[in-house]
Amino acid sequence: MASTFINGTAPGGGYALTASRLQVWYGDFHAVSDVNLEVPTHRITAIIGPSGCGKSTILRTFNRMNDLVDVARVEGSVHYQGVDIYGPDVDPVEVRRRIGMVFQKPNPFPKSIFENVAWGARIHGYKGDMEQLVEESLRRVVLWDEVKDKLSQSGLSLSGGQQQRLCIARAIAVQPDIVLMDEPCSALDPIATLHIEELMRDLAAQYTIVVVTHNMQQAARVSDYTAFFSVISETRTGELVEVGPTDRIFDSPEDPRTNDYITGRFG
Amino acid sequence: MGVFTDKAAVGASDWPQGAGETSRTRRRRVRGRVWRGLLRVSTVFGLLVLTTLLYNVVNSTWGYVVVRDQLSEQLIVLLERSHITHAERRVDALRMVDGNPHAVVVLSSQLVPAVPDGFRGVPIGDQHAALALIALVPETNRFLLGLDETLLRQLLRAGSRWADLFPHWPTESISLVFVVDDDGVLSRWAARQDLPNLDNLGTDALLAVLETHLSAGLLRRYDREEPMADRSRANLLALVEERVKEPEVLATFTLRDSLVRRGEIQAFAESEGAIAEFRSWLTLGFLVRPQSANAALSGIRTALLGSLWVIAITIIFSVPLGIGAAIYLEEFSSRNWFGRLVETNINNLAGVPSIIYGMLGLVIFVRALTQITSGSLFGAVSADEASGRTILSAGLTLGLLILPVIIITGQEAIRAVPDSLREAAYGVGCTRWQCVRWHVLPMAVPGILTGAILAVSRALGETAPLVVIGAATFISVDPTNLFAKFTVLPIQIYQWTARPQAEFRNIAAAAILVLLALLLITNATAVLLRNRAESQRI
Repeated sequence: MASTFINGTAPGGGYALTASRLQVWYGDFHAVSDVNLEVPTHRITAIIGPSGCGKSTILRTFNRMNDLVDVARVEGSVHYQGVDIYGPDVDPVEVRRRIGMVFQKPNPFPKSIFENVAWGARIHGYKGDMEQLVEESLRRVVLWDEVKDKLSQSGLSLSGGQQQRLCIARAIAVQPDIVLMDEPCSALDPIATLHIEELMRDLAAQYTIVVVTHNMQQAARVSDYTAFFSVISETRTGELVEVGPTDRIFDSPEDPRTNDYITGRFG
Repeated sequence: MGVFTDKAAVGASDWPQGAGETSRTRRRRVRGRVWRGLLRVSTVFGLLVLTTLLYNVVNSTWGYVVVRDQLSEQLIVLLERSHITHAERRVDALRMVDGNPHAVVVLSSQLVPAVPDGFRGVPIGDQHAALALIALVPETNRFLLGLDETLLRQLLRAGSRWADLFPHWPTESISLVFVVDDDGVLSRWAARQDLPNLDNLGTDALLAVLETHLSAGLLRRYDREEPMADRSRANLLALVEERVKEPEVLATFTLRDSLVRRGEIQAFAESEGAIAEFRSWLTLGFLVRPQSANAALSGIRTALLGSLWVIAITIIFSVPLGIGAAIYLEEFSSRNWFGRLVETNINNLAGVPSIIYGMLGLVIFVRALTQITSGSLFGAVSADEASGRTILSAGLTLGLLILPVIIITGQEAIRAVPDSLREAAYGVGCTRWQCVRWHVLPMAVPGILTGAILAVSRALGETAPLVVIGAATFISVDPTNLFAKFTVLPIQIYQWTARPQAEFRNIAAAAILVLLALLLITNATAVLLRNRAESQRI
């Protein structure tokens, strides 16, 4: 398969996800067309682009979250560890366990902080020390010190930024390979955003992260690779325009549409 | 000039000057006032209608009632302690005691124009009244020479032997014979005597009273229902009240009349030789007494038990089924044309008149499934006695009736759970069922419960379908199992309001209050459960 990366800049660690000829329909609406994208392992890949270009849609195809939308239809393939996750025998539950997700709006379970983190591991039959797992997960998202005395309180009692970190802790508590983040900072204030961004950099050492963001500065600050999506104005169909190392995309974009977008003349 | 630069076009040119409002503002305020007034009128109207309803029910539940007993309690006690016979058989009575020196016959002086041969007559009570009593003592009696009222009273209270009164009298047993007349002379006299009332009579005495006063045929009928010897004292007492005391309600008055026309009511009672008493038709006794042909003695025990049985079956049948269907439709089925067809149908079913469900229940549960609903399949009754008009059929029919409502409200409650919660759950890799079990249901439970309980309280008040499947209207034996014949509160109320006698409307009103209270309890339970479920959520 031809690499989308120019000049052999593919990282040594290989690719965690490989999407080829990926298309998404919502009923008759062709939402995203023909995406070929490789997500490098243990790197942060940012997906940017104007509203309605299918960024979130593509992200959700990576862990079959679109299965929950009745009218959604996916064509093409997404390979993960050599398996097409859209293959006939693949259990979407298993896919989502390995490819976790953090959503735009912080959505902790209406349960205790402890239970928020522990629940995922419990349903997967985690046999180890649950308290230790919760503590480690919370430490990794730098939330432990703030919540260690109120683990039995509701996850919803936390501030927005804390809630989002709790959601990340919840995602990593089931020990996934990949964490998908759908505009994780869009509902947060700048300080909380900064916390999450630092956290993402820390987590990248251990997880492959794909983050959708509206915020180009954020993409530039945190990501190693950037994929720029655009929208075909007649059909409103999203398409992948360009992907590459973040520095190159921001310094010398090859496609004029990318250039227009990152210099603020578009969208 | 564009739309936004032409300020005058939207009427925002200048701030209104001075005291004058612009006509625009004035018009707006008038419109606002009219709407507010209309909304207030509709609220007041609704309140008024509800108040009128409640007033009517309460007005009939309490009030004066003018009652005349066929036999006063004292007389029943009196007669229980003696031989008794009726006026038309007085000659037999006299013949019976003639020659028995230990008998005394007491009867209205009107019944004996002259003291018969072989007797001494002793006037008793008020000698000057037009109607008086006379005691006849056989002339063979050599010791009871000076019988008067005081002595008669002593006789009534004495033991069973003459010697108990005076040691030198014979040791033979006292034989008192009272002859009941139609004019109530004996009743009135008995009422003045300081006699115990019915409550003091034991089981044996009550049994004796019944055997004396009831016809053989009636006794046989009661014995078939439940052997007399096995009946409880309360049951016997109720029978005595109904069949022997036989209180006849001459008139009943509403609460309003009772308060404003008290004098007239008392005068009316006196003119009829009856008693006016202020009565609450809603009493504890009303709740625990079985049905009776006599309104004053009738209770709703069997109807209340019937309602509870039926509603229990309804809940067991329809709530799990309805919630299950709601979960399936919302969380598992796909939204294709078939799913939409099913949903549309359920919505339509919720609007089908309840009588149609009654016909459905009649055809399916009562007729087609007779073997199951009558219990003959399980050996509860023999096959040739099998009737499907049972509690089970009624419960299942009402269950069918409210099933669509439970499904729809359940679906709405489940739909109100935000998708972000489902995404969060699926995001950590749970299955659909885990998501439903641990996240969707806990969130939706208050709504589901509220809907289910409101549906159940609707079933509690349903009448039409149960009339169709054949609820009995007169049940005096408690329903004790699924395959029992039954009646329910609304049917009882309906049946009572249809009676011509005024007092049945009073007990119907009392039963309505009970039904309302039951509905209130059900709905309060819904609120409590919801609050509990909501507070358990962190």
